[in-house]
Amino acid sequence: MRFWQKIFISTFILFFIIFDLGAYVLVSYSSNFMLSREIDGGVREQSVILSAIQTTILEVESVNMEASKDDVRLNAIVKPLADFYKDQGVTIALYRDNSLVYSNTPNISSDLLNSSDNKKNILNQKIDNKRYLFVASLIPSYNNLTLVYVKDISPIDTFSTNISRLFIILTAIMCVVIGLSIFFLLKRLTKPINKLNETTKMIAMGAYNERVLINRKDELGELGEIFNLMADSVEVNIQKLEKASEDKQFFIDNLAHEIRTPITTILGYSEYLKNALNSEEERILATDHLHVAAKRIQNLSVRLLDFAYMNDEINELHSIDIQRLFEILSNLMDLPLKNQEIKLETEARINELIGDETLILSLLTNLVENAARASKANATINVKAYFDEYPIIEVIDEGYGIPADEIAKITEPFYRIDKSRSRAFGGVGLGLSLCKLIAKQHHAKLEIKSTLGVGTSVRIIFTTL
Amino acid sequence: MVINMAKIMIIEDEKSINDLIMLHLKLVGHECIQAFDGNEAISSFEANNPDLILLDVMIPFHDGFELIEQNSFKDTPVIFVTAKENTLDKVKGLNLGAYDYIVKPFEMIELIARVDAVLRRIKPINRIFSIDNTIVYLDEHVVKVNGENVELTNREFELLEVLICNSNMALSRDKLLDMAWGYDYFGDTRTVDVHITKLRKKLHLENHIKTIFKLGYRLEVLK
Repeated sequence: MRFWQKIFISTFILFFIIFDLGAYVLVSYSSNFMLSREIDGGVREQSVILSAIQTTILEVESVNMEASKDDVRLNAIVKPLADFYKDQGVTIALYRDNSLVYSNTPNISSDLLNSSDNKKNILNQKIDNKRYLFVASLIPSYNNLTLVYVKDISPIDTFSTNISRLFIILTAIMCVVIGLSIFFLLKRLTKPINKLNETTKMIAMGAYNERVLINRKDELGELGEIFNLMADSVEVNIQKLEKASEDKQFFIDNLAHEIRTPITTILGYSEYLKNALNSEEERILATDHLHVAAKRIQNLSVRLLDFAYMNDEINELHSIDIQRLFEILSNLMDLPLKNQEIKLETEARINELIGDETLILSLLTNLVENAARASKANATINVKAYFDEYPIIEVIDEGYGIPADEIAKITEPFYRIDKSRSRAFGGVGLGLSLCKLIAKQHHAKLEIKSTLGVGTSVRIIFTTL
Repeated sequence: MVINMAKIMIIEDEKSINDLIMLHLKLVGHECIQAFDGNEAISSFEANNPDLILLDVMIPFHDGFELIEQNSFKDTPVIFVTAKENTLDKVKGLNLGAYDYIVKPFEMIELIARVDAVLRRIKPINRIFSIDNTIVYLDEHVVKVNGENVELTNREFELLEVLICNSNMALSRDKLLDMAWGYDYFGDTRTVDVHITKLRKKLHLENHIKTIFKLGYRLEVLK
């Protein structure tokens, strides 16, 4: 059962139980109240009639001593009174002991007559669909005479019936009015819940950009806002995960491609050497290709190990003597640069830096290698360390430069501006990605600026040191 | 020499693969022109006017599909040689009018066979192979030594054809069985030896059909 249905039905039932219970109590209380008033009135009236009869009998007795014993005289005494009261819905009867002397009333119960001394017998009885009030008592000083007062009190029943009918009609009207109002109220109240439901379903099915719109200032409005916040963070995280997974897939695809090419080369040339009738010249060409391919796989494996190592956090950072760092760099790069006739100049305007020496060195050799790859013979590569707000190491070359639209992409794994040129120098396309990782480990920023035909500068800005 | 020698342009940016294809095509007697990117392909095509083009899809500047769409090679037949192995790319390549589609990595004898097949389709001339005093009319199944017809069994002729098409390449006995007898033939590899001996004798090719130690046989032809 839906939430609104539950609330609807329970409210509905609860309301009618309370309403009808109230109505019942009200009706029965008021009819009891009216009855007791009627009884009081009846008793009073009976007393008036009683005393009137008594007075009249006394008066008649003063003339005739035996009047109270004479039924005909008593009749003459009572009848005018009875006639007078009959118009007011009151009838009376007079008994001597248990025998009727006078009556203008139809039904009288005999147990009324067993009254004692001064007590009044009161009875309220329904006869032939009519309710009567009986009040009986002995006439004082004439203890064998009993006066019975009968009043038609049917209006009390009529009143109860009418008021009950009224309540039934009222209940029916309420039923419609209350039912409709609760229904619409609940619909309105639970609308945000349905919206939340729908949106949650959509999000669960993968529409992470779905949001719920609840324009309310109550708890549901709050829930909507919090829900949206949650959806935001879910969406962001999902996007991150997707990006990470895409990156990983991209990396693996590229890696597969990077490995497949040299392997194809090795398989092809080894088979060629084995099967083909070839000249010395062809044999040298084939072995050259074999060598390069094997070298490429080797470089790739070294770089991949670097990558794996870089993905672990570095434990300790030490103070690095920059002068010494630059000397080691010059020594390492000396031979390869000499082959290309490229000069390396270093300038250390700051003395030290906090970091992992091996990693920083690896970063610098990568950058210098890249710079050398982009440079023509007799060019110079400058490596500077200086302080400008933060400690900075900068590698500047006079090479070809990088097209502006490629700068953002060059730190992606396996991205190469010029594939064949890079490979010719043994590049595997992971150098700058590695630099980026190393910089990240040092909480440093890589900033690449380049002008086509003029050169490139890469700045490592150690923002937190 | 085989007479259906062709001028084949190899467009492939990976130099080692490009060289590898070139070396093998040269072995069987084709002439090769190499191009390493889209731009070079276009200029080299104009200059050399090749008979057949082997085209890699992923090359710099203009990719292979693009080159075909721009009709850069006019009516010259193209065989795609690419690492793109999904069917959609294959269908795209063939729909563009390529004669064949070879997925890397491939075996060189497969490439040679496919190249031969395309060449036969575009130039249905009679293929004639001549060496020393022996002339083989490949399409007519006729072999002449010193101008006189030599009777060869069907099997012998097929073996000879395989050797000619893959000249200068050593073929193992198993491979020869597969290619000349068919994959469903389960024979002893010595059957090959017997047939080779007969071929040598009938065609006086003792100096050309060489036994290569541990490998098999090779028909050696001067390049």
